[in-house]
Amino acid sequence: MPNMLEVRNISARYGNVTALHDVSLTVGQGEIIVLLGVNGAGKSTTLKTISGLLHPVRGGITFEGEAIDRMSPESIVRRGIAHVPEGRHVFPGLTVRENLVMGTSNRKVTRAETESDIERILEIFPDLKRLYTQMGWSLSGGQQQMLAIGRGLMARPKLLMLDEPSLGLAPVIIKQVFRTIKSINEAGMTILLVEQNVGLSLKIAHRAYLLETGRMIRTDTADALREDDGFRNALLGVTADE
Amino acid sequence: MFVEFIQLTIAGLAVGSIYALVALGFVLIYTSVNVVNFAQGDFAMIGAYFMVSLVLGAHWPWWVALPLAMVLTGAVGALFQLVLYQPVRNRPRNFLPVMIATVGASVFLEQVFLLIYGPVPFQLPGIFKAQSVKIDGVFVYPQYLVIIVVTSVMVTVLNWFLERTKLGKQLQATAQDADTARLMGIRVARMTALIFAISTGLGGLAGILIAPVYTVTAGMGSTIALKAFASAIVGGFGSIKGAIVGGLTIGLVETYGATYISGSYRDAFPFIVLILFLIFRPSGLFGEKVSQKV
Repeated sequence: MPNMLEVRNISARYGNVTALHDVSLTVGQGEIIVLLGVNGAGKSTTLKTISGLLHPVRGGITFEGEAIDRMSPESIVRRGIAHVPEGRHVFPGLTVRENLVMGTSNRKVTRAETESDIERILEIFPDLKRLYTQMGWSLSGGQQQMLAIGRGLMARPKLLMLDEPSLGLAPVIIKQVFRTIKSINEAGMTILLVEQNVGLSLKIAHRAYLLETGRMIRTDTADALREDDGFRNALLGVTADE
Repeated sequence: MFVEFIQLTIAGLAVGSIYALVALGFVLIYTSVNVVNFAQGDFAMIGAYFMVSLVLGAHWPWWVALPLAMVLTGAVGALFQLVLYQPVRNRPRNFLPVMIATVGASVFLEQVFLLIYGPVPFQLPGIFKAQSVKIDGVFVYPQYLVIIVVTSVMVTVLNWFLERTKLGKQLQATAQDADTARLMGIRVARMTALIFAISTGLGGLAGILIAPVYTVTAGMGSTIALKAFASAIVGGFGSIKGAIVGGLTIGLVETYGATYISGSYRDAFPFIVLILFLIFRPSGLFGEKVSQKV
């Protein structure tokens, strides 16, 4: 099966600081891929480079065979990559409904399509129903995360990229978020996940990549990494809550 | 006495509407791109000169000339941001350079229009021929009523556009979080152009409406801009409602002050109010809550 997304040997920098060195990864149709690493390892930078907020200084990125590494974020989301940024970035002054509608900005939609897409999102996140007319800023962290993922899905992406969806959430909410991610994937969505929660990520992912100070140091199937105690311990002991 | 008060109130609301329109432009641009456009008042002048060309030059009826002059002014505004703002859009800390560039652009625009139209002021006829109409014993200058009605309609339309349409919400989303808006596929550069076009178009409308009351000169924008800026601060810089209420407040204060206190200090009253606000309530009437800014 050909890869949906191919990142080949990219380097990226913020000003003079090189944040990624020679990073490669692939995502196949229908997979959940998790990108692991500690803070500052370059996980978010990788996603930003894929979604076009940042351009690589070396290397290339192709999506469904088309080079996207020089494109703007506006163009990339039109090709079917939705990026749900770290910290959720719900529009604070828009209602839940309006936030969802903004997710359709990557294409021409009819009113009826928008309504049926919102229906579909509310089935995945029933909690959003009663928050429908509330402002984004008034939502709790977990609710904002649901909204941010829902808004990403409103783009009808082929690839959904989630940047640390568990960040700052209560353990019980985190489990719920992971369950939802799994079920979205089972419904056919390809997912590239950035996480620090190693245990839960490896449980739902098919394959994993490990970044350290901007370099890709290991990749394997999630099953293999889960069995590897050395790997888990090396990576932080973040799994204490498991 | 009471009749005079009514007349002054109508005059004050009319002048205040002009300030409100220009203040709206300040606020829309500021909330969208975090820049204060110091050339905002000059777009009132540009709108008025377009009206001069269309009505006095081409002899078009006002109801064709007015919307056209407004749209043309907005187009100049879109071009303006293309030259001044877009080149430094993605540069961090672009606030100061852009703002200083707008000060320069203000001088430039005034000189260009002085060069084109000459130093002799133009007098635009009012939309209604009559110099005054009598309503219930009160004499009213009809252009004041035109100003109040047209401004009310425009503010209603703007509010509908921003609150009820998807494009309006996309503009708000861009203002709140531009990078995330881009990730949604909202074309941010287009949104910025649109905001500048709307803001300067409203400024142009202000100039078009006030032209029959004053005269059209290259410098007419600066006085209006100064008072509109005061209006925006009094209303709470960043608030649309504030810009309107602030504008009307400044207009009324100026008109009442000029009549009841001293005509020669007419231009001082708005700034006395501004100073009082800066001392006692710097966030203005509708200063935004921190929670909404985060």
